[in-house]
Amino acid sequence: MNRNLYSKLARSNIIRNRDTYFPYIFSSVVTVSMFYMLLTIANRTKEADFLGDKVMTDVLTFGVIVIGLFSFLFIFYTNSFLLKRRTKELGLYSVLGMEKRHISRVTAYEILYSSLFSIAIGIVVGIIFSKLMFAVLLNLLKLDTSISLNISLHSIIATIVLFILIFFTVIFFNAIRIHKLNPIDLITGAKKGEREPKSKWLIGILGIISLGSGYYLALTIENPVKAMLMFFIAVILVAIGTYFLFTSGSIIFLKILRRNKRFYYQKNHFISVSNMIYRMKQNAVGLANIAILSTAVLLILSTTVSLYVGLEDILATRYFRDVNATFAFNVDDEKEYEIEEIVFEKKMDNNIKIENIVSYYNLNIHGILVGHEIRMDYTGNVSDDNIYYLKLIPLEDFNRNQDTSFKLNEGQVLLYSNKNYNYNDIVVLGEKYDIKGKLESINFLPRSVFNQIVLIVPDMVEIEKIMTKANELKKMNYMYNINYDYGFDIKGDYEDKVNFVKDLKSQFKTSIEGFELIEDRYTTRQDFISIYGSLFFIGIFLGTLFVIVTVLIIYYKQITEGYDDRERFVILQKVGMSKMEVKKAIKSQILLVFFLPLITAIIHIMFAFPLVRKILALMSLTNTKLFLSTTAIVILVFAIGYGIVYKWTAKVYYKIVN
Amino acid sequence: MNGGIGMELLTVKNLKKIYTTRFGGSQVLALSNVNFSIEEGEFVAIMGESGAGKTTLLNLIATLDKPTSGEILLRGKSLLSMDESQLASFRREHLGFVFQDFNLLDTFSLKDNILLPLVLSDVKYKEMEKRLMPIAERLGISKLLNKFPYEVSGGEKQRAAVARAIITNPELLLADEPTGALDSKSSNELLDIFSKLNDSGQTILMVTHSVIAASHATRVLFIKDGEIFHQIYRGNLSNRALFEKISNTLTLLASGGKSYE
Repeated sequence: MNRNLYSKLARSNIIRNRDTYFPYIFSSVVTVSMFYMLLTIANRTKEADFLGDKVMTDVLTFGVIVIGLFSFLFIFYTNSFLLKRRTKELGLYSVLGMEKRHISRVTAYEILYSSLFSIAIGIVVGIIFSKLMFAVLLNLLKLDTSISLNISLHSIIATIVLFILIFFTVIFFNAIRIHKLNPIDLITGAKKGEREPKSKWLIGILGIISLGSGYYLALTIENPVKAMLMFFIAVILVAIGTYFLFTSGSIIFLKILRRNKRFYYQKNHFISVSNMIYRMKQNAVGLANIAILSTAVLLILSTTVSLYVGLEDILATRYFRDVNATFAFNVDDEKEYEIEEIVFEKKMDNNIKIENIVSYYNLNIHGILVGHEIRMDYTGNVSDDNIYYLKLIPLEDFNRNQDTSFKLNEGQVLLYSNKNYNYNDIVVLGEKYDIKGKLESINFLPRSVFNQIVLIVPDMVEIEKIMTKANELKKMNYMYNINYDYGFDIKGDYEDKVNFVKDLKSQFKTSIEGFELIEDRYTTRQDFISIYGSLFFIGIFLGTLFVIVTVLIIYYKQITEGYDDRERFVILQKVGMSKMEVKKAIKSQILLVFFLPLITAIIHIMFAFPLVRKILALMSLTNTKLFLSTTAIVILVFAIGYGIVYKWTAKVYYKIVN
Repeated sequence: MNGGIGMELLTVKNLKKIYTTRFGGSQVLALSNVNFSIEEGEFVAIMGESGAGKTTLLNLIATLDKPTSGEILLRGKSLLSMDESQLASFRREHLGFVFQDFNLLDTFSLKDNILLPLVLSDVKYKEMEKRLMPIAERLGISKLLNKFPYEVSGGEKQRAAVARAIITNPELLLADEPTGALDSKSSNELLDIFSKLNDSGQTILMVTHSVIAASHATRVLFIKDGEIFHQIYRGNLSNRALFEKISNTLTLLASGGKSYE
């Protein structure tokens, strides 16, 4: 009997509070369905057998964990909004004679009903859309789209278990929160008037310092290897700075405005400044959350899209030719000939055409650059900024591959560096060389993301000299060798290319002494597509999830504001403000409040840009123009979406206020 | 009667207000036919039971609502011909309001609440300060100006609301149950303030169902079933005597008796 009453009350509550409950249920449905889809797809790739399935499974499994984690956080967060919106109503129950445990039970039923509904519908939606999303994924990965995806009982059960757990935790925490509430506060709380927020200077200053140093890091890090670590530090600093500045910086700023009497006591500023002080107090954390979520969405999408779209660029950077083989041996005509023989034989076997052959001897060492001197004693100031990778190539090989006819005397070199090198000579491990000329680029070398100097030396004798020195000076148990690099582009059917590379590899292994490795774009392309395609795919999921939560926060904020502002709206009209004026004042305020996070996010992205560009360079994406345009497009699309959400929620808001 | 030589400030003619329920179903007659006028310098109280139409009448005079038919004239000028934005500035410049629940904005200090109408009328800050201090002192809230509404008592809030209402030097001060949310001590203080304001020439129209509040007025109008039913002039009566007279009238009204004066 009693139970019936609770469940009846719960059901009618959900219907009655549909303005707050339906968006919550909707977002839960989306979350559930996304989790189910990703899990099903990850499981499917685990069973599947296609090129790159391993990497993909890893990335997708990682994605499942991330989405699961965020589902938990988001459902929790939106639920807390829901409960806050309803404190007054719950207070009324308590005044009407319901005990706290009864109220807890009613809200538990509400969560139970809405969660069962969300899980059921979410799984159905997931089943329907998973096929579509799987096709999207296969398409992204340029795979055969005939691989089928069936309904997975295992995924259904896992989804149900996870979300039941999440919702039970929510019920549990709601019970605790209700238990802590004081009924009198609940009812009168809204009327008592909010205390004016204090200016917290310390937090404001910390916020500025934190944000400033985050930005500074993002702008000043030169070394891409460092960039990775610094990126996370910068993200944390910027996040802290955002929270601090939203919560206290905004209030300090507004109070300074208020202190300026000439400015403050003007029609346009008077109401907005004083209202904003309160709005910021109530909304600062929510707005900071929106700003950070938006930044995350923009970052995730712009990077994953760039990596995916820039795949060919990446491959071109990483691999100078379609096929690149490296051997460790000193000048040896017989071996060179043998390599050519093998390549010729295998290309005939596999029906492949070969072009753009590149071959050269070279020595690679690394040391620190002090002034004009490359040293191997790592004493003194060693950092990522002064470690240089040095490559030496004999003039003959250089001229042949570059198609030039430079001449060098003994003691002269040509120099190429991807950093600025401003001396006229260079000392390498004690050997001094005059720089006869500086090269703008070297056609047959891949771009390096590290500090690089390439020296073109007169002959192999010089190279051997340096090698001997290096092996004397080195501290590690490793011998420096002269390498022979052999690369070329291939044409033919995809299958043939893959087989060709496989054949080549095994033949080199058995018959060429000193064979080190062979890399090719074809087998690696699929690996790259798998990684970046899956990352992009997860980017879409995560982006969608973040966007939904952002929308939900904005929506709940608008409703709450609406109820708060209704009274003010009435008073202002009685005191002699026209409807139009009030509407204008309120509109400019909500515009400011809701576009503040978006503007913040865009500023964050702009500061993050140089650093992220360097990280992408580390992943071999060096096409800045591509990254820039992708970022711009992502921001534009996001801003338009944000604007639409704002328009829609503003409508709800005006409906409440009027 | 206080003065009696004043010009006619407010004239209400054949005022009628019918509310239609939201779905167009039944109609409620709030005011059927109200006629009266107020002269400059008067302190008029309108009395009546809940639902008699007092607040409707006040809202119509305050231009917050529009009548179904009839006319309201302030200094001979019709209020009904103005559009929304004209009405807003009219309210600001010619009328002052005091409400039962104060209607102070909790985001403003008392000072800013009082200055609000001046800010809306684009008055210079110097001028604002010049007007603020004497009024605040007169109402005994000059020490509370930097406090926020939630930090002061109901009586103090209502005095701030009065300050806000009179800082524009309005021709007519409208008060809707100004003592309704106050304890008896604060009520008396407020009514004294009203009397003093009236003595210095402020015209006041107050809606109330408190006999004590009404006994401070110079004239009391009784409204019943949407019509002005009866009125009492103070003449030379003391507050105490007027109080008794009003009480008697109310008893008569309640028992359905007829006007006898």
